[in-house]
Amino acid sequence: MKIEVKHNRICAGAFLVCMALIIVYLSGIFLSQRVEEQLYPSAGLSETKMLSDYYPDLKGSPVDTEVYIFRGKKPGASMLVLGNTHPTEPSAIVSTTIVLENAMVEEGTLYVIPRVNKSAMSHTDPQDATPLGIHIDTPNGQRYFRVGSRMTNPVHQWPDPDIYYHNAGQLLTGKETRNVDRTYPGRTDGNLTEKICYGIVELIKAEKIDMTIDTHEGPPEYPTIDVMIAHQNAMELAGTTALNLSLEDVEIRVDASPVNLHGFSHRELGDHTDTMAVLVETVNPVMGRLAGKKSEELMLEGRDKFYQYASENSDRLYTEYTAEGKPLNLRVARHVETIMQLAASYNEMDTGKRLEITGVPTYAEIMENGMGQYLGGK
Amino acid sequence: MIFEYELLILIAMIGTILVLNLICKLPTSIAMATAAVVGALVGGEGIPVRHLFEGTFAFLDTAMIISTAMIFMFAVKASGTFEAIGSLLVQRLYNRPMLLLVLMMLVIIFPGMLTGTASIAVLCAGAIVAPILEMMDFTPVETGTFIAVGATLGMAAPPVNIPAMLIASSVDMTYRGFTVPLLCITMISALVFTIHIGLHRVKPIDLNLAKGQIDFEIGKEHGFKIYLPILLVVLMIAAVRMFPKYIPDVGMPLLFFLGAVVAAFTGRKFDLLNVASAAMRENVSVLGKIMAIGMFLQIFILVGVRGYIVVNCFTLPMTALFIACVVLMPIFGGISVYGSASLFGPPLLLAMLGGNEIIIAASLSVLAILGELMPPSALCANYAADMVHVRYREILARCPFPVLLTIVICFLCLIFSGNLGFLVM
Repeated sequence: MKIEVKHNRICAGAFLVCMALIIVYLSGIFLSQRVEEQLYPSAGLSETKMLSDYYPDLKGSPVDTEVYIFRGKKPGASMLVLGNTHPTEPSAIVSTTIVLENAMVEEGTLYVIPRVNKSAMSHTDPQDATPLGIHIDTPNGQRYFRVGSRMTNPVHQWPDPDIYYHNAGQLLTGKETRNVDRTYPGRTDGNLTEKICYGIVELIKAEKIDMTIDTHEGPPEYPTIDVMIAHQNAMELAGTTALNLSLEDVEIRVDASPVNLHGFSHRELGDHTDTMAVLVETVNPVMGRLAGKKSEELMLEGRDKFYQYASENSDRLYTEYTAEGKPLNLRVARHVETIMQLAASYNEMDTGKRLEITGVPTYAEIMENGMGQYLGGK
Repeated sequence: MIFEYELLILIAMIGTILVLNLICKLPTSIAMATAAVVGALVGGEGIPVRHLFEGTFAFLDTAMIISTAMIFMFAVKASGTFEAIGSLLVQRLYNRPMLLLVLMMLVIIFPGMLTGTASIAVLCAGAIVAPILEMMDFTPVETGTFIAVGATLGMAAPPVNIPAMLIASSVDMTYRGFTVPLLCITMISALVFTIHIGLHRVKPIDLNLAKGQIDFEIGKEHGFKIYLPILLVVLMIAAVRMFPKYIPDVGMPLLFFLGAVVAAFTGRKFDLLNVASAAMRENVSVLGKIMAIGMFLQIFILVGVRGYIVVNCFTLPMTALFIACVVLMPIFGGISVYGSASLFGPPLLLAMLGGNEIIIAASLSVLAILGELMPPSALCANYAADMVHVRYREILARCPFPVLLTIVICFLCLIFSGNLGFLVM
């Protein structure tokens, strides 16, 4: 049996019309990823700046992003919280939003950048097959958060080189040139992604930020999960925080940032500024290669039969995976508690400065009431 | 975890390809795209137009590189550069066939080493090598096999091995220390294969006969400038790789296009537009295949078939894991080399931690690259077949020896990775 398609104008015309209709339909879907979700900063918000206020080259670019500033009644220590470095990691997205929408600062200053790579939020990556976003019920109705890509949108930065040569002499695959957490400390003559990093470095220097927290997620087969990776100048802070977290039933490991692994926030922000840089990771099954069907349900509930099976039948996962899974609520609660404990632990250090943040829910509160209770709205 | 619903989806997808491709004689690209739709339907996703469309963009850059490389090669061919290079080599080494054969293998490997792409190696070097091999008494099938195997090993050889980079970056390893392990695996394999195919078999070239087949005058007519297009492209690619800090990477598509423009002025006169059109007509089936592979993989991941396969590998005991590596990676490389490397490389590497991770990652990358010689896509074999005008299945039928040889070398590297750490520099 051989199927043949007639080569005539009617077939060609019908094909072209079909393709045009599909493209119009798909354009609507893909362009909807550029619509920014509304955020509702708490009443403690003092000022909103743009990253371009610190690095003017970013003005008018698709990666210029809001820097929300919460100043306390008294001066003190400062903390920068980064979310959406990788928009494929929803607990980072939601936890920074909860901090933004609940924090009241009594002493010191809190800076929150909930959308570090806006360009990466505006598209999804082929071969990820992730849902376009997640819906979370709140007392004020349902909130929608986009799930994007790890990388800057190629519409904004393209083509990739074959090899990404980092300034420190490190070689990576070319696509990493669009990954914010591989391109720190950034450069003024670099690409768009490197300019985001440069802008963040400039912000940290200009505001003399004492500690910087970069929120992430990783797959269960990845060694770097449920962990704080700290620059050597932040090891005391991270160690104290891990101890304090264990008292709240949050078990977290502390890893030292490898000295020769460049481009990461925990390495370069510590090396190129005076901030104490810490990167925190939770577990997200959707990002993993063992994940079953990619769905919003998997992203929210975190239950996956394949990971459960791998956990029960091998010792090759870096976390225990039970039938309860790793729900987003748990991952968000861990991140929020870690951020708050980092601030609290800083106050235990002998620096002469303090950072007092109130209003942000604890791990126990989020686990009991659900993350939606702490998301604002109209 | 053998019997899960995802197994049914997998059977439906593979079955669709086999039925449409082998029984209905539809092109592989149409068969794979249809298999993606069938997989989505069986997987309960309906017809996910967004995912099907998004998948086609997975290898957009690869498609652009292949297209411009094809235009470049057609232009260089039209300008007479290949005839000039062929005549030069034959005049110097016509009576030392084994040395010429080893040199031919290096000529094929070289473009792949620099570009990390086997198809480009076939297109760049194949046209130079093919007529010379046939004069050394190689049949067209043997010539095609020689070119396909050399180009595939070139893709795996350092300095640029893109699947190794993909695996390394997925587990936060830098792409350092891979040079010697990759050189050892690829060069041993290349040398043994060359000796196997050529020893007691290859004949000296009859210069008088060659004069009837090769234009020995073209090189003299245009002088050194006839080599400029190839030199320009090779030097620019090498310079970007060797001095990435100082020389900006304008991208291989632009380099190949510039090379094609230069070729229009350095040899025989030809109409660049006509040559480019001919090149794209030749290329369209491969482009379709690349798009369809992206579509297929996207659905594969969406419906959980990837998870099903990987979890079964992940829970295997170590011995079975080694066997899974050498079986699964080349087979899935036959669907997509990059797909195989990025889907299976990182979890297999993580599952085998304890040995030398660079040796393991290098071996896994080579195993994935062998997919260039495996059906259903067998991109490299396809290109080589087109070049020597034979069916690609005839070339595949000659590939078991080099493929098995390379698999054995990789297998040994995986098992003894802990003892081979001295190769990592």
